[in-house]
Amino acid sequence: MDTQQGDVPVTSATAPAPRAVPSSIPLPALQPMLAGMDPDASVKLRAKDLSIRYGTRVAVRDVTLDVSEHSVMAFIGPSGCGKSTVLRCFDRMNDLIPGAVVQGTVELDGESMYGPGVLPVEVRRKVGLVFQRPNPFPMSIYENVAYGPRRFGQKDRGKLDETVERSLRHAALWDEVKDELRKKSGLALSGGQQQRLCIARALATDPEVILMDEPCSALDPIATLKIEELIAQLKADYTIVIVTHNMQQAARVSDRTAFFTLGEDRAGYLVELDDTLKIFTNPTNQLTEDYVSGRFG
Amino acid sequence: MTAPTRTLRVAKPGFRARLDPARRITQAAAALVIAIVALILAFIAWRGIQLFIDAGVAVPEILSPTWQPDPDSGPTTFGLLPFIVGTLEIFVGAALIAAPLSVGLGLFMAEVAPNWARRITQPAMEVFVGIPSVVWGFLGAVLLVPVLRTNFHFTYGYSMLAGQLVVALMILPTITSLSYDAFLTVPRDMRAASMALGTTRWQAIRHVVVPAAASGVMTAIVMGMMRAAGEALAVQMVIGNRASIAFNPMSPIQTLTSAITMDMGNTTPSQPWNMALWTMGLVLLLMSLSFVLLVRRLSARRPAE
Repeated sequence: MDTQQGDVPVTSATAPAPRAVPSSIPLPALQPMLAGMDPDASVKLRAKDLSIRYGTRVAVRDVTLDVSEHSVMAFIGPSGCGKSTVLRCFDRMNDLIPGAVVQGTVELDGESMYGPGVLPVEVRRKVGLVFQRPNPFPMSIYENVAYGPRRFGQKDRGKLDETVERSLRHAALWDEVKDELRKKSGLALSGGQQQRLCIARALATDPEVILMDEPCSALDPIATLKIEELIAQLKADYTIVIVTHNMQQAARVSDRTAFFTLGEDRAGYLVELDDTLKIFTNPTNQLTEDYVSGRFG
Repeated sequence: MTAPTRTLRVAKPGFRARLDPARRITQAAAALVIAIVALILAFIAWRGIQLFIDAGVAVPEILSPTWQPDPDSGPTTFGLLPFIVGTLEIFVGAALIAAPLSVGLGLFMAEVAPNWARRITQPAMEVFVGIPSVVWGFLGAVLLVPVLRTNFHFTYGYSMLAGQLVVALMILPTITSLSYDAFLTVPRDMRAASMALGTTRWQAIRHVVVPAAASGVMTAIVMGMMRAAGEALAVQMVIGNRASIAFNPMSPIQTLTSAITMDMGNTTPSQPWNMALWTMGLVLLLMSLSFVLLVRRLSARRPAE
């Protein structure tokens, strides 16, 4: 194994690849720490030796991590380190990109998401995804939220009304829009409202996990605050993974934080995963320390 | 103590900046185009109403079947109406045939086709546009008309249907490429949002992409119809040119454009017949203009919803 002992000590959360991932600590000793397992909470999402390639280019390699049920995990790291790519693996959204190849295992409730016979459509029903830019459909607020249930065959008006109200309330948007549900287009809302509408739209299909890909990067500070408060509330019912560029945001909303960075081979990898407090106050790894203290990235 | 006041100095524009050649050139180009369009409209309108002013024909009279612009030819039984009906039949019929095919093809190119298929279909559409209308008319007359006559037992083969089919092929690339563009303007994220909720790709297309692109697709169809309404040569070569109101697709008909191209050379300027042809041109122009307004209404609605 080609380790680079002279470098800064790096605790890689990944199985060391032949090149460029320096590792000075033997893997078994790392396991409990890096997978960050809390024995009390059950594991909702698990990635093991997850690598993603686009054609011949490796975007992310050897990511192993667990997300506990009813917790919030934040993915932080510099641009291009593959945190969004990993996030999208949990919703099989990389399947939509031609040439993307996913290796390793990804499990939801202990069941493989990529196993033979697993339909991506069914995985995506259990996992909601909130995009970086709010992307409501060009239809009324009501139709935006009712979109998922309608596609899955719900025709009963009463039940749809109920789902729409419940989802909008859950997304803290109901009071702002209840008077013009059917009149106002989803696109006529403000950016922050649009993003909460997208969250409501995802909640309406009754997911177990909600993935958020930089949900606040297009929003102003007040709208951001609202989304952050919402995340804290949603944690009671859902498991949440959020990608963010904003380290204060990661510190505010998440229970655990995963730090990714780019290796020398331009492939992203997981450097360190730990309780959020520890990542931001006393990280184990020098790279993490440099990043969270603003010396890099 | 008062802080020293600072005045902001605004630079005076120099001679070059005041002349601003780029601005002047583009303004001149725009003015020229507007002037040409206005002059064409004014000219056609002026020539078109000579029939009413100079020849003293009352406006409703031209629609009556017994109206005869050429006093030497004896009594007639058609008036202007068959030409208008024929024009409408050709372009509505052509659009009905072409629209489903080309919108489907546009959807295929935008949403379904793998890259290699798109690399074939896009240049194919460009070649399609480049085929001159006389070639379409020739192919129609040589290939389509005999088939209609012998295999489908049309009386002549030269018929409304032949015209509709030929024009449908001609407007196919127009509608295809415009609707393709309309589908492409639907943001990628919207399809992805639908699929992330767990819908199939077909559901995302059916319930998000198609409704979002609907007004653009309507514009594409109307643009195709306008092209169909203005087409003269190919139509004239296959529709049989009989001036009578017919609703049977097997019978020969005539359109405004085909009558103008066929008769213009045979008339003397300032004779009522010649004026009548100008009036037909004006009628055609008014039909196209109302379509342009329709298109604008449709596309203006786009960003709202």
